[in-house]
Amino acid sequence: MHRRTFLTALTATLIAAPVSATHAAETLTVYTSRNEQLIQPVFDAFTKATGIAVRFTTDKDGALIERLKAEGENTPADLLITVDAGNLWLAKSSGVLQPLQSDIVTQKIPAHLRDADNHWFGVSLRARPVMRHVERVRAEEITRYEDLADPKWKGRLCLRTSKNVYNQSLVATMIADLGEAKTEAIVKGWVANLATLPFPNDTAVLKAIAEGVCDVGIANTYYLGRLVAETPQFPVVPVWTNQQERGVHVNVSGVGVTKHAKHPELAKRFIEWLVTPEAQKLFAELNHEYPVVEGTPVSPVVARWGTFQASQTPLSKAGEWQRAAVQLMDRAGWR
Amino acid sequence: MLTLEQVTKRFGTHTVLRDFSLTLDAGMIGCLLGPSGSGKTTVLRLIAGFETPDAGTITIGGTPVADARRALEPHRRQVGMVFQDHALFPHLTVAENIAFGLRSWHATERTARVTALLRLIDLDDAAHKYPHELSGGQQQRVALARALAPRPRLLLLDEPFSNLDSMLRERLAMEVRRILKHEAVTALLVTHDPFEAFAIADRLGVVANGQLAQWDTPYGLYHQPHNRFVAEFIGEGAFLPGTFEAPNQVRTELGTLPCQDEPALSPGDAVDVLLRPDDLVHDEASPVIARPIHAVFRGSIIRYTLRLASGATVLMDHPSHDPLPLESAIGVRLDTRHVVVFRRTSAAVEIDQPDCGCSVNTNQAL
Amino acid sequence: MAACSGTIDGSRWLALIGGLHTLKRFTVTGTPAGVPRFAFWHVVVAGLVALAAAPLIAIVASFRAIDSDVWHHLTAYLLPTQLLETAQLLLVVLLLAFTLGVGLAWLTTAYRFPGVTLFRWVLLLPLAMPAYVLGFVYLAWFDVTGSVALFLRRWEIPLPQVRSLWGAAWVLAFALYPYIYLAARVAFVTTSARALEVGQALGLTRRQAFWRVAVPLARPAIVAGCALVAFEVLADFGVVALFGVETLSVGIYKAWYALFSLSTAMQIAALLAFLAVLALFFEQWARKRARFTTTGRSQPLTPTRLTSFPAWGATLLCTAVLAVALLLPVAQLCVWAWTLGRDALTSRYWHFFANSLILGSSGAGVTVTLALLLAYAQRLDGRPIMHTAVRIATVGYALPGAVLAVGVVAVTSAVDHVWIALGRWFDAHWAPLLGGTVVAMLIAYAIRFLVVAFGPIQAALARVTPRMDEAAQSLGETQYGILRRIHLPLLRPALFAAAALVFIDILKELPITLMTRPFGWETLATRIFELTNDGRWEEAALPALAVTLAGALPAWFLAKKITHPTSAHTPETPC
Repeated sequence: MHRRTFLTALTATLIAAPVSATHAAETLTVYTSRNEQLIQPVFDAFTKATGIAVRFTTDKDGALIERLKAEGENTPADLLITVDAGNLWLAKSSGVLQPLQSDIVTQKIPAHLRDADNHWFGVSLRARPVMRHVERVRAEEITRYEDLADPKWKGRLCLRTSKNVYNQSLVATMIADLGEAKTEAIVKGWVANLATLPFPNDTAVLKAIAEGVCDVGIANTYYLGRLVAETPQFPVVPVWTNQQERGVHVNVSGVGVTKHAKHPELAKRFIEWLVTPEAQKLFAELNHEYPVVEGTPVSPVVARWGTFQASQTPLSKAGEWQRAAVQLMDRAGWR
Repeated sequence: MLTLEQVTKRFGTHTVLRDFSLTLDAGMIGCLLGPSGSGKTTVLRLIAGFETPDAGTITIGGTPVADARRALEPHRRQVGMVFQDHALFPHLTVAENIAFGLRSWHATERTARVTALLRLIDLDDAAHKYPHELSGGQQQRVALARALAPRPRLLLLDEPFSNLDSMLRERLAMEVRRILKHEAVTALLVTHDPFEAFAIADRLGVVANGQLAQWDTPYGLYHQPHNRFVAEFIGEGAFLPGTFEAPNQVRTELGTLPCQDEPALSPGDAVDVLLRPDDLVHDEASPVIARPIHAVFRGSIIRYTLRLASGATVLMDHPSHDPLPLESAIGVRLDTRHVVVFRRTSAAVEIDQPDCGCSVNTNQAL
Repeated sequence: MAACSGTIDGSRWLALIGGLHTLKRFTVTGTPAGVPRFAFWHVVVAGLVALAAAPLIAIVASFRAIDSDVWHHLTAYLLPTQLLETAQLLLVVLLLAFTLGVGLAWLTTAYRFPGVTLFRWVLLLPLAMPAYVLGFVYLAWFDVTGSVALFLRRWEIPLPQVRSLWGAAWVLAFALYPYIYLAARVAFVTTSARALEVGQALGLTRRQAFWRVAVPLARPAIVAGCALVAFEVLADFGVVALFGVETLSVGIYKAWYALFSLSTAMQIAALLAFLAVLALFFEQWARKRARFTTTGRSQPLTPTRLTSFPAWGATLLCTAVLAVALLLPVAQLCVWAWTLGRDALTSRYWHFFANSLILGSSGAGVTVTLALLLAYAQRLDGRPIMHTAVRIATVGYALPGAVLAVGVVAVTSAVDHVWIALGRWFDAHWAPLLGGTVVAMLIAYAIRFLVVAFGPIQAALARVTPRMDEAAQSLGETQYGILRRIHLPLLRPALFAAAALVFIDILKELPITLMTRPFGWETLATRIFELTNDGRWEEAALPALAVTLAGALPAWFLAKKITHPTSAHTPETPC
């Protein structure tokens, strides 16, 4: 039963095992939860620019962090890339990252988008604003996340499931900014206004607004970017919330050097390369995101939405308060 | 050819065979009879090598094959076996099944052997059929041919006919006997059906509680059982109460019968006399009166259950052309050539300590 | 009648599996009574159980630390709902999948109607479609912004909420019913027509005979199929997440990913595994006294020819099931793949395809081999402790894959730590022995899918009576000869069936593949992950189609094996 194939595979493995370990010194190894189509072009550009080869494997954040923990000092990974600040915070508190001393990086990346001890750095920014139907909801009708709790939105709000990490980070930073009691009252208001069951993804939320299932929602900007790129007249626009006060909630895709990195100097070169204008533009544009380095141009789709005041709350708060946020959402009955 | 000496076999704490001894001469067909659980199949499995004895020696053709310390592996013993469920290999054709044990044979010899056996079992045209396409009887014959093919020194048959219709059994038993004799093979079979055994065997034994109760010819076993258990197990009959009278007589309500002197019995002892259905005949001249109370049609004969004056019942065979009216008084007399007497015991039949019967061998023609 | 289940001489089995040269001490088989005979097999089983249980150790070890804050939250807000919804989902899926699986199996076995020979195998094909892909397709149609829902909205026809327990149950049932269909069909094909005739002779109609004779006779097989479905439902995360159902597996992921408490996640997983094992023990206990093998000569069932209305009704029914489970979703995937994924179809897809096939087949090989060893061991030693050991070795299937994957990585890493430390002791730089190798991957697959392979092999082995071994022995055949000439030919269909099932499962498997694959070993499944994890469900149509295609071949093979029940391979006299 597939004996030959099996033996072939086994032999190949036995040969491949030592080979994979004795890879070229100039290879950077990356564990990433940012998926292949969004990261491969970045690595390609890096290799082209520096001659350093990159190999990587993808998985979910939690799995990658557990893997790093289990592998300990024998891990092949030099870098960890995640798509959410909460997970970067978890990686740091799990002790799988090490600080990176680089003036270039610390100068270019604003303090609230990186770890205080330089264990991780946000390299692209995505906002999670309120989204409204461009016609059914006028711009001045809503200005703050808090407004969505107003009974006037009863049956008009669409949300993604609370199991999603972006919502968890949003609520976590709200707790950090407003306190738990106030946040809970707001979230309960949201739940009371829901038009339908929470959706499994942001795209569904946006489509629901477009199709008139509801009028407002909350979603990451790049999902809207993708839809607009497909259908330019997609009738949903972001509402830059809380501009007069704390700013719109943002999250990052970030990177950190692993504690037991075999090539910390390559990792450093990669992160320093990531903050160059060329890399910033590429990294952000691939996914309709915002660069973290001031002055880097954004994609045309994104540019249409104008500029906004982003929250300055340190993103590590998203991790610190995540557990409380999840419990709060469960209490509020947000499925 | 085959000798078992003082073989003991235990499974856990349960002793299945205790000091079991048996000898079978070359060319003979032996048969072990016994109720289920008596250990008779274990005897076969010990001989075949599927079990090892805890004590005693098994010798085949002069070579010891197993004792308490050493056992030859089954596949080296050259002992063929036919199983109760035939155990034909379902993925092989009839011819392939028969050829299974002939792997080391030269191809032409193998083909010739298979062809010859197919003819012998009268399944020439079934060579390429699969076992499931055969009837039970045909499967049984294939299993036999398969076991015979490598010319084993000894052939073992475990309840070979029990899965077959009763009509088929006796015919097939004779058929098997013909085949075994044709192949001149020494064989030992196991069955619980005495008539199957009579049809096939030269020598029979009854296994009871792990021991061989009697090893004898079919006639001897039927008419001169050594104990009550053998008497009851082999064939029908009735025990008629009587009294032992010195020197060589036993008195019953059917009359006084001659019997060998038996030291274990003393005059006046209460005994039971074994009467087979053919030991009584209808004779209107006889002074002994009996009443037929039940009749079973058996083709050429009718077997009557008779009630005697004392209330005891006996069996009698009578030609079926001449039916006897039920409940009528008829005359009967004994027509025995041998009288088997057992000491009367309580209802339970003790088989571990066989009574010594006394018997008269007037005629032992087979 | 000698008992079928009797123990068998250890020497034979020892010889079977490779240890052919260690036979010497068994040439003389006189072992004193009371001394355990099967030391070798105890070692084999202990090894397998240890292997399978190793990742479970990580789960058991999680109990060292109880996170009372998380547990308090879970018990207050989540677990009651999750237990309830898990039970409800399980019940609804099992009912629906049972109806589909057993009903279709009976229809295609006992009746003849237009297209039946095609349906017999095509009805298995939904097995090749990952459940979460099917789930996504249904959401794309029927969710509030789905194409069908929008179309109906124009006519003001309201659609019930599909993102619900019922929607999830619908999808899971149609994705998983082939497990029951397969098991039931194998059982019905080998059911003796006699048994049904007896039922009918006792005054049952054909339909009553089905319920009162055919189904009870096929019960062990159907239960085995239902168990696979139940395990899949318990372990499922993809479909329930899409449909917003709160099951225990959702709780596991929430505890781990959202509440950052992997130990709590593992504790819930342990609870889940415990419930699964308990359910199986209960079933075993319930049927302990019944015997299900037919006695006497078995006569295959002759299908009744249906005519006119019932015939076309049957054809229509089969077509409808296929349309729901396979045809329409595949059509939708084709549309997406054409409109969105066309450019993605580059030569690297050959690479993904090849990797999937290699992993699937070698994983199937390893899993089937281990399952065979386990089945032999259980056949040799039928004591209850052996059944418990087998249960433990096969429980991996009920765990969410990600939890098992973490356990596997914990174990392989631990081995590597020792290995590398050993190398350092020798002043050498040794590469990791397991981590990042295909070997670790294959072991993980084997642990997860052991139970899938174990079922068919155990069933087939039960049909090779000890009598057949003895017959071969008495014909002068050696241990190895018996393996080669009797066992392998008789087990071959079952081995292939088991391998095909495991192959399909590995094709669809995600968490273990993701966490243990060596660098560059991208498969069709990881391709689906890359796209769906990024919310690009429609673009995942291309790899999803490829998975379905790759799984169709073994599914076809599986179906062929039972459509032509080479009755030559079905032993006649199961005792």
